[in-house]
Amino acid sequence: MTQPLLQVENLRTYFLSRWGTVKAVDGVSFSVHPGETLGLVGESGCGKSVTCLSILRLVPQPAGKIVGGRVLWEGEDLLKKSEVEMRRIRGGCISMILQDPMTSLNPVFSIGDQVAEGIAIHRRLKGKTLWQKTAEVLGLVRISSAKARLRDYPHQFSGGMRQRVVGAISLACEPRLLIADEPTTSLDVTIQLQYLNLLKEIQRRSGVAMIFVTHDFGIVAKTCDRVAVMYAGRIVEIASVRDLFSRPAHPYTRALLDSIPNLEEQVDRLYSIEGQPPALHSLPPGCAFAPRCPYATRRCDHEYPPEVSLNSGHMALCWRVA
Amino acid sequence: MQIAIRVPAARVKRLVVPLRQVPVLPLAILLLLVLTALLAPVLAPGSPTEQNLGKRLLPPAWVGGGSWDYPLGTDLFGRDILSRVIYGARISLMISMTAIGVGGLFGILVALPAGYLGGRVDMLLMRAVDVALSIPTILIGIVLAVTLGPSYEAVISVIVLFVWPRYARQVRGETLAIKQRDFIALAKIAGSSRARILIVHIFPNLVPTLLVLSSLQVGAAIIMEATLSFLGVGIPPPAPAWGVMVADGKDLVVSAWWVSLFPGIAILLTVLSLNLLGDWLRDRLDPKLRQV
Amino acid sequence: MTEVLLEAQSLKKHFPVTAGFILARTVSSIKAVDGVSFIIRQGETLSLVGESGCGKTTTAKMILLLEDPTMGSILFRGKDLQRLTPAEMKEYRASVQAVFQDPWSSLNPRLRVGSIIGEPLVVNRALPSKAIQEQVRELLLQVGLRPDHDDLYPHEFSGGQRQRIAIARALSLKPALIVLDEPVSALDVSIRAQIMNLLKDLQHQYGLGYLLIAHNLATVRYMSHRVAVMYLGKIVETAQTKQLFSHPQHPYTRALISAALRSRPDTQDEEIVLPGEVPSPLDPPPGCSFHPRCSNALPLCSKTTPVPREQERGHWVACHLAETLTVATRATISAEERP
Repeated sequence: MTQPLLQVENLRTYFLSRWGTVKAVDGVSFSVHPGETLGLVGESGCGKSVTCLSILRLVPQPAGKIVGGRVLWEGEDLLKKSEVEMRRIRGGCISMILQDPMTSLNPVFSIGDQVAEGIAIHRRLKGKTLWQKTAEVLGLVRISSAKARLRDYPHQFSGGMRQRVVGAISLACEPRLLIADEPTTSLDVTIQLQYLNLLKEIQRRSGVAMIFVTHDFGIVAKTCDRVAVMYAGRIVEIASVRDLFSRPAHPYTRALLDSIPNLEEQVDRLYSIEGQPPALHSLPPGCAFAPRCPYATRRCDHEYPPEVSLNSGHMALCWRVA
Repeated sequence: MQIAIRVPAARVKRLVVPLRQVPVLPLAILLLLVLTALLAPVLAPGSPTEQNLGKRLLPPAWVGGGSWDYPLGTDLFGRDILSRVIYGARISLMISMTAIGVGGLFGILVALPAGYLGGRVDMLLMRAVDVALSIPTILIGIVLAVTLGPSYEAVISVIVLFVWPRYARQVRGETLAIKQRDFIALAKIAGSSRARILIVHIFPNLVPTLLVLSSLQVGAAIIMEATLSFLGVGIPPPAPAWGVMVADGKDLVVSAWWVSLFPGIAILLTVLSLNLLGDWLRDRLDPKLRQV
Repeated sequence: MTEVLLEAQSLKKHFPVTAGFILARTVSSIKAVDGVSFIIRQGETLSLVGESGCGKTTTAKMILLLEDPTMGSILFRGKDLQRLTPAEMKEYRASVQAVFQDPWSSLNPRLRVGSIIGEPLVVNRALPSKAIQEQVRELLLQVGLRPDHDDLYPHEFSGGQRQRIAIARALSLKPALIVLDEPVSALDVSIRAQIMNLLKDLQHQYGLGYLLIAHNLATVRYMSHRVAVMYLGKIVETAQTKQLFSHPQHPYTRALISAALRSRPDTQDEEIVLPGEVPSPLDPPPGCSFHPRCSNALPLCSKTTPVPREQERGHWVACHLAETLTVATRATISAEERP
C-alpha cells in the first residue's frame, strides 16, 4: 500500500460553550491516500465539518481548541507547524470548498481577481502570466470563453457556474488534497450531477485526493472510494464504498441506509430511527448511539465499544460485531 | 426519555447565562438615576431653586473655601449644585421618557401597518420619514422657543419630532423582515386577520429591536434636551435642567469650574450608561441588529 | 373512484416587471406559472417536482391563497373559488393547510407551542379555551410529542420536533388537503424517515390529500401517488408515481431522473447531461420551452407549444415527440431490465 498523504490520529477538538465542554470531535482517526476520495458522512453536528477545519487548523477561536491527536501530512504533524507554515499549506497543499457558492465569493471583486489571488500568493506569478494561468484554471472547470469572463462579477454568473468558480479557486494551485464540505447542497439535481462529474474528472487527470463531507449517501455512492461514518464526534464505521453499502456493520450505518428512500424501487415503509441525535455536551458513558439502537445491551450503555476490524480496511465501533 | 431530560436543562441555561455578562456598572448608574429622580425631595440636601446671594459660587466641599452645607458648591445665584443635579435627573428622565413614549408610539403605529401592507401607504410613509429626518431639529426648537417662548411642551415636541422617524424606519425595516418568515404565511393560511397578525405575530418579534432602539434613543433625547436647554430654548429657568446648568457655568469655566462640571458629568454618565446598555442588549438579543 | 378534492385549471401567475420610479409602468412579465392544470383526490399525494424557479412554489402559494392567480381557476370539491360565499371561503381556508420547509421559520418564536398549535382553532372555531387546550394536547400526542410540551417555546425543541409541531398545527382544523413544501429537506437524515412515516400515517388515518413539493426524487417516489413534473412554469408530464419513474417519457423528466443520484454504488444508469441552463422565465423560448436543451428537438418544437396528451391511462405528456420517443424508451428499458 502506498504511503498515506494525510493521516489523522486520535484527533480531539473540543468547544467551550455555555453548556460546558462540547466534544465536537472526540478521537477521530483515518487516513487518505493519494488520488483517493474519502467520504465523511454524518448528520449535522456529528463533527464532520469540525474534523475538516481541525485538519487545516481553522477551528473558530477562542471557543474551539484542538486538545489532542496528530494530523500527519506526509509524515509531518500539522498541529505542530507555525502559523506561517500553515498558511503555505492551506490553499497550496490542502484546499477547501465550502457549502455556499453565494457567500464563498466576494461580490465586489471580479471573478478573475478572486481566482488569481491564490495563484499569485502560492505561485508568485504576476501580470500577463498570472492572467493566462487564471483563464486556464477557469477553463478547467468548464467556464466557457473564460478569458472574456475574467472581468465579470459573481452576480453575472449562475449558481452552478459560481460553484465551479469556487472549485477553480480551490484547484488553482494544484493542491494534493481537496476538502469539499457539502459542495452541492445548494445546487439543483442536474447541476449537481454536472459538478460531481467535473470533480471526478479533474481528480482522474490531476490525481488530487479528496475528502467529501456530506450527509447524502447518494453522493457517497457516486463519488467516494472509502467512507467514514461519523456519529456524535466519532467515526463509528469506516469501509470501502462497496463494503459499506453491501455489508454495513454498525447498526447506525445500517439504520441510516434503511431509512433513506430510493429511486430504484417502491418501498412501502421506511425504517425510521427513533429519538434524536444526542447533545454533545452530555454524552452517555457508553456508545452514543445506544439509546437509539435496536440491538443495545446493558454493556452498550456503560462501556464504550472497541474498534473492531472486520476485514482489510473495514472497521466498526460496536460491541455487537466484536 | 431524552426529551424529558433536555427540556428543563434548556430553561435553566437561559436564565443563568446572561448574568455573567450583564453590564453591571451602567445598570447600577441607571438604577441610581431613577431612584434619585423618584426620591429627589428626600435625597436633596436643599432646594434646587432657592437663591442665596450671600453664598454665590462656593466651591465644592473638598476644595479650599468650600463647605459641607453645599457638597458640590453653589452657582452664580448661590443655589446648591448637588440639589440641582438631583432634581435635574427628574427633568431629564421626565422629558426624555415622555418624548420617547410619544415619538416611539407614533413611529410604531405608523410604520407597523405600513411595513406590513407595503405598496403606496408604505411609500408615502417612507418619504415622510425622509423629510422628517432632514429637518434640522435644533433650528425648529429655536424657532418654536422664539415664537412661543421656551416651555416643557416645546422641548418634548421637538424631541418627538426628532425621534419618531428613527422608530418608524427601524420598525418598518424589521417588519419587512419578519413578514417574510414562514409563520406569517402560516398565520394567513390559518385565516388570521391582519390585526391579529400585526399584534400577535409581528409586534412581539419587534420587542428586542424596540428595547435596543429605545435605550439608545433615550440617551439621544437627553442630549437633545440638554442641548436645547444649553442654548436657552429648552427648559425655562430657573428649573434645574442639566443643560441649563451647564450653560450657567459656561462663562465661569476658568474661575468656577464646578458650576458646569457636575451637571456635565451627570449627562455624560447617564448617556454613556444608556449606550453601553443598548450595545449589550443588541449583542445579547440579536447580533443582526448591529446596524441600529 | 375517490372524490376529487381540488382541481387547478390553467393556472397562471405572471409577475409584472416595472420600470420607472414614480410613474411605474409594466414593461414585461415573469411567467412564473404559465398554464398549470392538475387534480388532487381525497387521500392522495400529488407531487410537483422540478428545479428551482420552475414555478412549483408559486403554484402552491396560489392554492394557499397567498398569491392571486393572474388567470385560471381553482375548484374545491367542484366549486370555483371565485364563486364561493364568504362563509364557504372561510371553510376553504380551514380545509387547506400547509407545512413548510424550515421549521425554524415556521413557528413564531414568541409564542408557546400550545398557542402555535391552537391558533387556527382560536381564529376559526368559537371554542372555550379549555376545549382548545384539550385538542392541542390530543394533537401533540398524535404527532409523537408529549401533551405537556404545550407550554414550552419553539427554541426548546430540535428541528424534527419543531416539524412535528408544525404538522400538529396544520392538522388542528381537520383539513382535507395539506400543502407540504419540502417538508423534510431541512431535517437531518435520520429524522427524515420519522417525519415521512408520520405524514403517511396521518394520511391513512384521516384520508388527507397532500400536495407535495420536493426536489429530492427519492422522497417524491416514497411519498406520492402521482407526480407532475414542471419546467419553466408548465407541467410537462404527469403520471402515476411508479409509471413515471419506470417509464418517463418527456425528455426533461428523463434527464431529471437520470441526474438524480442512486442510493447504491455502481447503479447509475446512463446519464443524460442537459446542455446549458434553465432559460429565464422573463423571456421563455418560443414553442416548447425545453427545445433549446432537448437533443431530440425538431423544427416544429421551436414554433408550436406542445399540448399535454394522454399516452396511457393517467399518463400525460406535453411533447410533440411523445409517441416516437416512447418506442425508443421502451427499447432501452427492456434492455436494462434484462439481468
